[in-house]
Amino acid sequence: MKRIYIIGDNVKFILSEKCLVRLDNDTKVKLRASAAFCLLLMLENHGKLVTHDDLYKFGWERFGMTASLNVLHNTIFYLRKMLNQAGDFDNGIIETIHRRGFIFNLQVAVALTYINMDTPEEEETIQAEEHDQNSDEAEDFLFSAESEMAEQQNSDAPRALTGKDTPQETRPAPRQGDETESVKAKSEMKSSSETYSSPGLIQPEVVAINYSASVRTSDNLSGPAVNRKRAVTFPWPRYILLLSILLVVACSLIIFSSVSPGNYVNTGKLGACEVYQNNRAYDFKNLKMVDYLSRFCKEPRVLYLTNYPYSNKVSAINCREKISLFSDDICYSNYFIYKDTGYHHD
Amino acid sequence: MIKRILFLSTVGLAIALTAFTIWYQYGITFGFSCSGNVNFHRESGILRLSTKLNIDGNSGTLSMNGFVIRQDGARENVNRTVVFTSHHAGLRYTWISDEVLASIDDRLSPETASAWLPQFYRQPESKVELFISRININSVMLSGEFVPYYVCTQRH
Repeated sequence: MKRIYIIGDNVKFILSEKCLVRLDNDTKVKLRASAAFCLLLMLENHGKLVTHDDLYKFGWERFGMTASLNVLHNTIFYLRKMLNQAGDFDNGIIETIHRRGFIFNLQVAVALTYINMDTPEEEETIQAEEHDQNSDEAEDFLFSAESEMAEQQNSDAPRALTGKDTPQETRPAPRQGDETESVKAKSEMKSSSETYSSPGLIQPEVVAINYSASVRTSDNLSGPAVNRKRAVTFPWPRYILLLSILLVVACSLIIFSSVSPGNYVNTGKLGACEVYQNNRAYDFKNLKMVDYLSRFCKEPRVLYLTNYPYSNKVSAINCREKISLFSDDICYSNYFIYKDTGYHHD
Repeated sequence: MIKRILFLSTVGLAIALTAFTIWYQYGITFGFSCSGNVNFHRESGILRLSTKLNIDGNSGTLSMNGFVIRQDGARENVNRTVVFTSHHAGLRYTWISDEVLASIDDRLSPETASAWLPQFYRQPESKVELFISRININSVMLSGEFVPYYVCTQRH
Protein backbone atom coordinates (compact mmCIF):
# COMPACT_ATOMS: atom_id res chain seq x y z
CA MET A 1 0.00 0.00 0.00
CA LYS A 2 1.47 3.35 -1.09
CA ARG A 3 0.78 6.57 0.79
CA ILE A 4 0.25 9.50 -1.53
CA TYR A 5 -0.55 13.12 -0.72
CA ILE A 6 -2.44 15.18 -3.25
CA ILE A 7 -1.35 18.80 -2.88
CA GLY A 8 -3.73 21.34 -4.41
CA ASP A 9 -5.28 19.72 -7.41
CA ASN A 10 -2.26 19.29 -9.56
CA VAL A 11 0.60 17.68 -7.62
CA LYS A 12 1.01 14.43 -5.75
CA PHE A 13 3.75 13.66 -3.26
CA ILE A 14 4.73 10.00 -3.25
CA LEU A 15 6.31 9.36 0.09
CA SER A 16 8.08 6.12 -0.67
CA GLU A 17 9.74 7.59 -3.74
CA LYS A 18 10.35 11.01 -2.19
CA CYS A 19 9.17 12.78 -5.28
CA LEU A 20 6.58 15.27 -6.44
CA VAL A 21 4.60 14.31 -9.53
CA ARG A 22 2.64 16.76 -11.65
CA LEU A 23 -0.73 15.17 -12.28
CA ASP A 24 -1.45 16.49 -15.76
CA ASN A 25 1.77 15.33 -17.41
CA ASP A 26 3.36 12.99 -14.83
CA THR A 27 6.52 15.11 -14.57
CA LYS A 28 8.55 13.89 -11.61
CA VAL A 29 10.59 16.10 -9.33
CA LYS A 30 12.85 14.15 -7.02
CA LEU A 31 13.33 15.59 -3.53
CA ARG A 32 16.32 15.41 -1.22
CA ALA A 33 15.73 13.05 1.69
CA SER A 34 15.77 15.75 4.37
CA ALA A 35 13.44 17.96 2.32
CA ALA A 36 11.02 15.09 1.83
CA PHE A 37 10.89 14.43 5.57
CA CYS A 38 10.29 18.12 6.30
CA LEU A 39 7.49 18.21 3.72
CA LEU A 40 5.95 15.07 5.19
CA LEU A 41 5.96 16.56 8.68
CA MET A 42 4.34 19.77 7.48
CA LEU A 43 1.70 17.90 5.47
CA GLU A 44 0.82 15.80 8.49
CA ASN A 45 0.40 18.98 10.49
CA HIS A 46 -1.41 20.79 7.72
CA GLY A 47 -2.30 24.33 8.81
CA LYS A 48 -0.50 23.94 12.13
CA LEU A 49 2.81 25.38 13.23
CA VAL A 50 5.70 22.97 12.84
CA THR A 51 8.53 24.22 15.00
CA HIS A 52 12.19 24.35 14.07
CA ASP A 53 13.00 21.77 16.70
CA ASP A 54 10.47 19.31 15.33
CA LEU A 55 11.91 19.71 11.86
CA TYR A 56 15.46 19.25 13.11
CA LYS A 57 14.48 16.08 14.90
CA PHE A 58 12.39 14.64 12.12
CA GLY A 59 14.65 15.62 9.23
CA TRP A 60 18.13 15.12 10.67
CA GLU A 61 18.66 14.29 14.31
CA ARG A 62 16.99 10.90 14.30
CA PHE A 63 19.62 9.90 11.74
CA GLY A 64 22.41 11.10 13.98
CA MET A 65 22.87 14.28 11.96
CA THR A 66 22.75 17.85 13.15
CA ALA A 67 21.56 20.76 11.07
CA SER A 68 21.97 24.49 11.48
CA LEU A 69 19.25 27.06 11.08
CA ASN A 70 20.72 27.99 7.70
CA VAL A 71 20.42 24.42 6.51
CA LEU A 72 16.81 24.29 7.67
CA HIS A 73 15.93 27.54 5.89
CA ASN A 74 17.72 26.39 2.77
CA THR A 75 15.76 23.15 2.87
CA ILE A 76 12.49 25.07 3.09
CA PHE A 77 13.65 27.36 0.28
CA TYR A 78 14.48 24.28 -1.77
CA LEU A 79 11.04 22.79 -0.99
CA ARG A 80 9.28 25.97 -2.15
CA LYS A 81 11.33 25.90 -5.33
CA MET A 82 10.49 22.26 -6.02
CA LEU A 83 6.78 22.83 -5.26
CA ASN A 84 6.84 25.76 -7.62
CA GLN A 85 8.56 23.69 -10.25
CA ALA A 86 6.16 20.79 -9.88
CA GLY A 87 2.88 22.61 -9.34
CA ASP A 88 3.45 26.34 -9.94
CA PHE A 89 2.80 27.10 -6.28
CA ASP A 90 3.99 30.43 -4.99
CA ASN A 91 6.28 30.87 -1.98
CA GLY A 92 3.31 31.35 0.31
CA ILE A 93 2.59 27.62 0.22
CA ILE A 94 4.94 27.33 3.16
CA GLU A 95 4.59 30.23 5.54
CA THR A 96 7.50 31.28 7.72
CA ILE A 97 6.74 32.08 11.34
CA HIS A 98 9.78 34.09 12.31
CA ARG A 99 11.97 32.43 14.96
CA ARG A 100 9.40 29.70 15.52
CA GLY A 101 8.77 27.49 12.54
CA PHE A 102 6.73 26.96 9.40
CA ILE A 103 3.11 26.31 8.43
CA PHE A 104 1.92 24.50 5.34
CA ASN A 105 -0.72 26.89 3.97
CA LEU A 106 -4.19 25.79 5.01
CA GLN A 107 -5.70 27.27 1.84
CA VAL A 108 -3.88 24.72 -0.26
CA ALA A 109 -5.87 21.52 -0.10
CA VAL A 110 -4.04 18.39 0.97
CA ALA A 111 -5.53 14.93 0.69
CA LEU A 112 -4.06 11.66 1.77
CA THR A 113 -4.77 8.59 -0.32
CA TYR A 114 -3.60 5.05 -0.39
CA ILE A 115 -3.08 2.98 -3.46
CA ASN A 116 -4.14 -0.58 -2.92
CA MET A 117 -2.39 -3.25 -4.89
CA ASP A 118 -4.47 -5.62 -6.95
CA THR A 119 -3.00 -8.84 -5.67
CA PRO A 120 -1.24 -9.78 -2.47
CA GLU A 121 1.78 -10.86 -4.52
CA GLU A 122 1.99 -7.49 -6.15
CA GLU A 123 1.65 -5.73 -2.82
CA GLU A 124 4.35 -7.90 -1.40
CA THR A 125 6.58 -7.04 -4.32
CA ILE A 126 5.94 -3.35 -3.89
CA GLN A 127 6.59 -3.57 -0.16
CA ALA A 128 9.86 -5.36 -0.77
CA GLU A 129 10.81 -2.68 -3.26
CA GLU A 130 9.90 0.01 -0.78
CA HIS A 131 11.87 -1.74 1.90
CA ASP A 132 14.95 -1.96 -0.29
CA GLN A 133 14.54 1.60 -1.40
CA ASN A 134 14.00 2.84 2.11
CA SER A 135 17.00 1.08 3.55
CA ASP A 136 19.16 2.23 0.67
CA GLU A 137 17.91 5.77 0.98
CA ALA A 138 18.44 5.79 4.71
CA GLU A 139 21.95 4.58 4.19
CA ASP A 140 22.50 7.09 1.39
CA PHE A 141 21.16 9.73 3.70
CA LEU A 142 23.67 8.86 6.35
CA PHE A 143 26.51 8.85 3.86
CA SER A 144 25.52 11.97 2.01
CA ALA A 145 24.04 14.15 4.71
CA GLU A 146 27.17 16.20 5.23
CA SER A 147 27.75 16.81 1.56
CA GLU A 148 24.09 17.69 1.14
CA MET A 149 24.30 20.22 3.94
CA ALA A 150 27.48 21.67 2.47
CA GLU A 151 25.82 21.81 -0.93
CA GLN A 152 22.78 23.54 0.50
CA GLN A 153 24.89 26.05 2.35
CA ASN A 154 27.01 26.80 -0.67
CA SER A 155 24.53 26.80 -3.52
CA ASP A 156 21.30 28.26 -2.27
CA ALA A 157 22.44 30.30 0.65
CA PRO A 158 22.50 33.79 -0.94
CA ARG A 159 19.01 33.49 -2.38
CA ALA A 160 17.58 31.72 0.62
CA LEU A 161 18.73 34.41 2.95
CA THR A 162 16.60 37.16 1.43
CA GLY A 163 13.13 38.58 2.01
CA LYS A 164 11.04 37.54 4.89
CA ASP A 165 12.90 34.27 5.17
CA THR A 166 16.13 36.00 5.98
CA PRO A 167 17.41 34.04 8.91
CA GLN A 168 19.52 36.71 10.57
CA GLU A 169 18.84 34.87 13.74
CA THR A 170 21.19 32.12 14.58
CA ARG A 171 20.03 28.90 16.03
CA PRO A 172 19.82 29.48 19.76
CA ALA A 173 22.30 27.65 21.90
CA PRO A 174 20.75 24.36 22.83
CA ARG A 175 19.09 24.37 26.17
CA GLN A 176 19.70 21.51 28.49
CA GLY A 177 16.44 19.96 27.47
CA ASP A 178 17.37 20.25 23.80
CA GLU A 179 20.65 18.57 24.41
CA THR A 180 18.88 15.77 26.15
CA GLU A 181 16.51 15.39 23.25
CA SER A 182 19.37 15.48 20.80
CA VAL A 183 21.20 12.81 22.68
CA LYS A 184 17.97 10.88 22.88
CA ALA A 185 17.47 11.23 19.17
CA LYS A 186 20.94 9.86 18.58
CA SER A 187 20.48 7.07 21.05
CA GLU A 188 17.35 6.08 19.20
CA MET A 189 19.57 5.20 16.28
CA LYS A 190 21.20 2.55 18.40
CA SER A 191 18.04 1.36 20.02
CA SER A 192 16.47 -1.67 18.51
CA SER A 193 13.02 -1.18 19.90
CA GLU A 194 12.26 2.53 20.14
CA THR A 195 11.25 4.81 17.36
CA TYR A 196 11.02 8.57 17.27
CA SER A 197 7.66 9.57 18.67
CA SER A 198 7.42 13.21 19.61
CA PRO A 199 3.83 14.47 20.18
CA GLY A 200 2.18 15.60 17.00
CA LEU A 201 4.66 13.79 14.80
CA ILE A 202 3.93 10.69 12.89
CA GLN A 203 6.15 7.69 12.76
CA PRO A 204 8.65 8.19 9.97
CA GLU A 205 8.15 6.36 6.75
CA VAL A 206 11.83 5.70 6.47
CA VAL A 207 13.61 4.76 9.64
CA ALA A 208 17.33 4.35 9.26
CA ILE A 209 17.98 1.88 12.02
CA ASN A 210 15.02 0.18 13.47
CA TYR A 211 14.85 -3.55 13.83
CA SER A 212 11.31 -3.73 15.10
CA ALA A 213 9.00 -5.62 12.84
CA SER A 214 5.88 -3.52 13.20
CA VAL A 215 5.46 0.23 12.91
CA ARG A 216 2.02 1.62 13.72
CA THR A 217 1.17 5.07 12.51
CA SER A 218 -0.14 7.54 15.06
CA ASP A 219 -3.77 8.50 15.53
CA ASN A 220 -3.67 11.42 13.17
CA LEU A 221 -3.24 9.00 10.31
CA SER A 222 -6.13 6.96 9.16
CA GLY A 223 -4.06 4.31 7.49
CA PRO A 224 -3.60 0.78 8.73
CA ALA A 225 -0.58 -0.51 10.54
CA VAL A 226 2.05 -1.59 8.11
CA ASN A 227 4.32 -4.52 8.75
CA ARG A 228 7.81 -3.99 7.53
CA LYS A 229 11.08 -5.84 7.69
CA ARG A 230 13.69 -3.27 8.53
CA ALA A 231 17.16 -3.33 7.06
CA VAL A 232 19.99 -4.00 9.46
CA THR A 233 22.42 -1.22 8.71
CA PHE A 234 25.81 -0.62 10.22
CA PRO A 235 26.00 1.55 13.32
CA TRP A 236 27.75 4.83 12.65
CA PRO A 237 29.21 3.81 9.32
CA ARG A 238 30.80 7.17 8.82
CA TYR A 239 32.82 6.87 12.01
CA ILE A 240 33.89 3.34 11.24
CA LEU A 241 34.82 4.39 7.72
CA LEU A 242 36.79 7.35 9.02
CA LEU A 243 38.56 5.19 11.58
CA SER A 244 39.35 2.61 8.89
CA ILE A 245 40.83 5.22 6.59
CA LEU A 246 42.92 6.63 9.44
CA LEU A 247 44.14 3.13 10.30
CA VAL A 248 45.09 2.46 6.69
CA VAL A 249 47.03 5.72 6.49
CA ALA A 250 48.74 5.21 9.87
CA CYS A 251 49.71 1.61 9.13
CA SER A 252 51.03 2.54 5.70
CA LEU A 253 53.14 5.30 7.23
CA ILE A 254 54.50 2.97 9.92
CA ILE A 255 55.40 0.26 7.44
CA PHE A 256 56.92 2.45 4.75
CA SER A 257 58.84 4.64 7.19
CA SER A 258 60.41 1.55 8.71
CA VAL A 259 61.88 0.32 5.45
CA SER A 260 65.29 1.18 6.74
CA PRO A 261 67.25 2.41 3.72
CA GLY A 262 64.36 4.76 3.08
CA ASN A 263 66.25 7.47 4.96
CA TYR A 264 69.40 6.95 2.93
CA VAL A 265 70.03 9.30 0.06
CA ASN A 266 71.67 8.66 -3.25
CA THR A 267 75.09 10.32 -3.21
CA GLY A 268 76.50 9.20 -6.52
CA LYS A 269 78.06 6.24 -8.25
CA LEU A 270 80.99 4.06 -7.44
CA GLY A 271 81.78 2.08 -10.59
CA ALA A 272 78.48 0.50 -11.55
CA CYS A 273 77.10 0.76 -8.00
CA GLU A 274 74.54 3.31 -6.91
CA VAL A 275 75.72 4.62 -3.53
CA TYR A 276 73.25 5.49 -0.78
CA GLN A 277 74.44 7.12 2.45
CA ASN A 278 72.95 8.13 5.75
CA ASN A 279 72.65 11.76 6.80
CA ARG A 280 75.76 13.44 8.17
CA ALA A 281 77.99 10.84 6.55
CA TYR A 282 81.42 11.60 5.12
CA ASP A 283 81.59 11.76 1.35
CA PHE A 284 82.20 8.18 0.34
CA LYS A 285 84.93 9.22 -2.13
CA ASN A 286 87.12 10.24 0.81
CA LEU A 287 86.75 6.96 2.66
CA LYS A 288 89.68 4.56 2.75
CA MET A 289 87.87 1.44 1.66
CA VAL A 290 86.54 2.86 -1.61
CA ASP A 291 89.19 1.05 -3.62
CA TYR A 292 88.33 -2.22 -1.92
CA LEU A 293 84.58 -1.74 -2.52
CA SER A 294 84.98 -0.73 -6.14
CA ARG A 295 86.11 -4.28 -6.86
CA PHE A 296 82.53 -5.41 -6.15
CA CYS A 297 80.98 -2.72 -8.29
CA LYS A 298 81.70 -4.05 -11.73
CA GLU A 299 78.04 -5.01 -12.11
CA PRO A 300 75.09 -2.73 -11.33
CA ARG A 301 74.47 -3.00 -7.60
CA VAL A 302 73.32 -0.87 -4.72
CA LEU A 303 75.76 0.08 -1.99
CA TYR A 304 74.50 1.30 1.38
CA LEU A 305 77.25 3.12 3.26
CA THR A 306 76.86 4.10 6.90
CA ASN A 307 79.31 6.16 8.90
CA TYR A 308 79.15 8.94 11.43
CA PRO A 309 81.52 11.72 12.44
CA TYR A 310 83.87 10.76 15.30
CA SER A 311 83.23 7.08 14.67
CA ASN A 312 85.95 4.79 13.39
CA LYS A 313 83.48 2.28 12.00
CA VAL A 314 81.99 2.12 8.54
CA SER A 315 79.36 -0.27 7.27
CA ALA A 316 79.09 -1.07 3.58
CA ILE A 317 76.18 -3.28 2.58
CA ASN A 318 76.29 -4.33 -1.03
CA CYS A 319 72.95 -5.55 -2.41
CA ARG A 320 71.92 -6.88 -5.76
CA GLU A 321 68.93 -4.53 -5.85
CA LYS A 322 67.56 -1.62 -3.89
CA ILE A 323 65.95 -2.64 -0.62
CA SER A 324 62.22 -2.10 -0.71
CA LEU A 325 59.30 -3.41 1.30
CA PHE A 326 58.96 -6.62 -0.67
CA SER A 327 62.50 -7.07 -2.03
CA ASP A 328 64.20 -10.40 -1.60
CA ASP A 329 67.50 -9.05 -0.35
CA ILE A 330 70.68 -10.65 -1.57
CA CYS A 331 73.26 -8.60 0.26
CA TYR A 332 76.86 -8.88 1.37
CA SER A 333 77.94 -6.81 4.35
CA ASN A 334 81.33 -5.31 5.13
CA TYR A 335 82.16 -3.77 8.46
CA PHE A 336 85.34 -1.69 8.62
CA ILE A 337 87.09 -0.79 11.84
CA TYR A 338 89.76 1.88 11.38
CA LYS A 339 92.66 2.90 13.62
CA ASP A 340 92.83 -0.57 15.06
CA THR A 341 95.04 -0.37 18.15
CA GLY A 342 95.04 -4.07 18.86
CA TYR A 343 91.94 -3.84 21.01
CA HIS A 344 90.95 -7.16 22.50
CA HIS A 345 87.39 -8.11 23.43
CA ASP A 346 88.16 -8.84 27.08
CA MET B 1 25.13 -1.33 -2.92
CA ILE B 2 28.39 0.05 -4.30
CA LYS B 3 28.76 2.21 -1.19
CA ARG B 4 28.26 -0.84 0.99
CA ILE B 5 30.90 -2.77 -0.93
CA LEU B 6 33.31 0.16 -0.69
CA PHE B 7 32.59 0.48 3.01
CA LEU B 8 33.23 -3.21 3.69
CA SER B 9 36.34 -3.19 1.51
CA THR B 10 37.79 -0.24 3.39
CA VAL B 11 37.06 -1.78 6.77
CA GLY B 12 38.50 -5.11 5.62
CA LEU B 13 41.62 -3.41 4.29
CA ALA B 14 42.06 -1.53 7.57
CA ILE B 15 41.76 -4.71 9.63
CA ALA B 16 44.17 -6.61 7.39
CA LEU B 17 46.69 -3.78 7.31
CA THR B 18 46.54 -3.34 11.09
CA ALA B 19 47.17 -7.05 11.62
CA PHE B 20 50.05 -6.91 9.14
CA THR B 21 51.54 -3.84 10.87
CA ILE B 22 51.41 -5.55 14.27
CA TRP B 23 53.15 -8.59 12.79
CA TYR B 24 55.66 -6.37 11.00
CA GLN B 25 56.53 -4.41 14.14
CA TYR B 26 56.48 -7.14 16.75
CA GLY B 27 56.81 -10.39 14.79
CA ILE B 28 60.57 -10.59 15.42
CA THR B 29 60.00 -10.98 19.14
CA PHE B 30 57.95 -14.13 18.60
CA GLY B 31 60.42 -15.86 16.35
CA PHE B 32 62.68 -15.25 13.44
CA SER B 33 65.12 -17.20 11.37
CA CYS B 34 67.59 -15.68 8.94
CA SER B 35 71.04 -15.83 7.49
CA GLY B 36 73.62 -13.31 6.37
CA ASN B 37 77.20 -12.86 5.24
CA VAL B 38 79.59 -10.32 6.68
CA ASN B 39 83.24 -9.31 6.48
CA PHE B 40 84.86 -7.56 9.42
CA HIS B 41 87.84 -5.55 8.27
CA ARG B 42 90.61 -4.44 10.59
CA GLU B 43 94.14 -3.36 9.87
CA SER B 44 95.35 -6.67 11.28
CA GLY B 45 93.21 -8.79 8.95
CA ILE B 46 89.72 -9.78 7.84
CA LEU B 47 87.12 -11.98 9.48
CA ARG B 48 84.73 -13.50 6.93
CA LEU B 49 81.60 -15.07 8.34
CA SER B 50 78.44 -16.74 7.18
CA THR B 51 75.88 -16.70 9.95
CA LYS B 52 72.57 -18.32 10.68
CA LEU B 53 70.40 -16.84 13.37
CA ASN B 54 67.37 -18.48 14.88
CA ILE B 55 65.39 -16.71 17.60
CA ASP B 56 62.40 -18.41 19.12
CA GLY B 57 60.89 -16.24 21.82
CA ASN B 58 63.42 -15.99 24.64
CA SER B 59 65.99 -18.38 23.30
CA GLY B 60 68.01 -18.70 20.16
CA THR B 61 71.05 -20.04 18.36
CA LEU B 62 73.66 -18.30 16.30
CA SER B 63 75.85 -20.37 14.02
CA MET B 64 78.99 -18.89 12.50
CA ASN B 65 81.12 -20.36 9.82
CA GLY B 66 84.13 -18.63 8.28
CA PHE B 67 87.73 -17.73 8.80
CA VAL B 68 90.16 -15.06 9.84
CA ILE B 69 92.87 -14.03 7.41
CA ARG B 70 95.67 -12.27 9.18
CA GLN B 71 97.86 -9.63 7.58
CA ASP B 72 100.64 -12.15 7.10
CA GLY B 73 98.28 -14.45 5.15
CA ALA B 74 97.73 -17.04 7.88
CA ARG B 75 94.22 -18.38 8.02
CA GLU B 76 92.24 -19.72 10.97
CA ASN B 77 88.82 -21.32 10.65
CA VAL B 78 85.82 -20.36 12.73
CA ASN B 79 82.96 -22.82 13.03
CA ARG B 80 80.89 -22.55 16.17
CA THR B 81 77.38 -22.26 17.46
CA VAL B 82 76.26 -20.18 20.38
CA VAL B 83 73.09 -21.12 22.23
CA PHE B 84 71.77 -18.10 24.06
CA THR B 85 68.94 -16.62 26.05
CA SER B 86 67.40 -13.48 24.64
CA HIS B 87 65.75 -10.53 26.32
CA HIS B 88 64.69 -7.37 24.64
CA ALA B 89 63.51 -3.89 25.43
CA GLY B 90 62.11 -2.43 22.25
CA LEU B 91 64.68 -2.96 19.53
CA ARG B 92 67.57 -3.50 21.94
CA TYR B 93 68.33 -7.16 22.48
CA THR B 94 70.47 -8.63 25.21
CA TRP B 95 71.78 -12.09 24.51
CA ILE B 96 73.36 -14.20 27.24
CA SER B 97 75.32 -17.19 26.03
CA ASP B 98 74.29 -20.52 27.53
CA GLU B 99 76.64 -22.74 25.53
CA VAL B 100 79.39 -22.20 23.01
CA LEU B 101 79.72 -25.25 20.80
CA ALA B 102 82.89 -25.20 18.73
CA SER B 103 83.10 -27.59 15.80
CA ILE B 104 86.11 -29.86 15.32
CA ASP B 105 87.30 -27.71 12.42
CA ASP B 106 87.19 -24.57 14.53
CA ARG B 107 90.90 -23.65 14.64
CA LEU B 108 90.76 -20.25 16.18
CA SER B 109 93.69 -19.64 18.55
CA PRO B 110 92.84 -17.98 21.87
CA GLU B 111 94.76 -14.83 20.88
CA THR B 112 92.96 -14.46 17.58
CA ALA B 113 89.64 -15.31 19.20
CA SER B 114 90.05 -12.63 21.84
CA ALA B 115 91.09 -10.11 19.19
CA TRP B 116 88.14 -10.77 16.90
CA LEU B 117 85.27 -12.17 18.93
CA PRO B 118 83.52 -10.65 21.92
CA GLN B 119 83.31 -12.86 24.99
CA PHE B 120 79.76 -13.84 24.16
CA TYR B 121 81.08 -15.96 21.25
CA ARG B 122 83.76 -17.57 23.36
CA GLN B 123 82.44 -18.30 26.86
CA PRO B 124 79.08 -19.19 28.38
CA GLU B 125 77.38 -16.74 30.73
CA SER B 126 78.61 -13.79 28.70
CA LYS B 127 76.40 -11.20 27.20
CA VAL B 128 76.25 -9.02 24.16
CA GLU B 129 73.91 -6.19 23.31
CA LEU B 130 72.73 -5.25 19.87
CA PHE B 131 69.85 -3.71 18.01
CA ILE B 132 67.66 -5.72 15.69
CA SER B 133 65.30 -3.79 13.47
CA ARG B 134 63.18 -4.97 10.61
CA ILE B 135 64.01 -3.31 7.32
CA ASN B 136 61.42 -5.04 5.19
CA ILE B 137 59.26 -8.14 5.06
CA ASN B 138 62.20 -10.49 4.53
CA SER B 139 65.09 -8.93 6.37
CA VAL B 140 66.32 -7.53 9.64
CA MET B 141 69.37 -5.43 10.32
CA LEU B 142 71.71 -6.14 13.23
CA SER B 143 73.52 -3.10 14.53
CA GLY B 144 76.00 -2.34 17.26
CA GLU B 145 75.65 1.33 18.09
CA PHE B 146 74.60 3.25 15.04
CA VAL B 147 76.50 1.44 12.34
CA PRO B 148 74.83 -1.75 11.13
CA TYR B 149 76.79 -5.00 11.29
CA TYR B 150 74.90 -6.81 8.59
CA VAL B 151 71.61 -7.59 6.91
CA CYS B 152 70.09 -10.90 7.89
CA THR B 153 67.56 -12.26 5.43
CA GLN B 154 64.92 -14.89 5.79
CA ARG B 155 65.27 -17.56 3.11
CA HIS B 156 62.10 -19.30 2.01
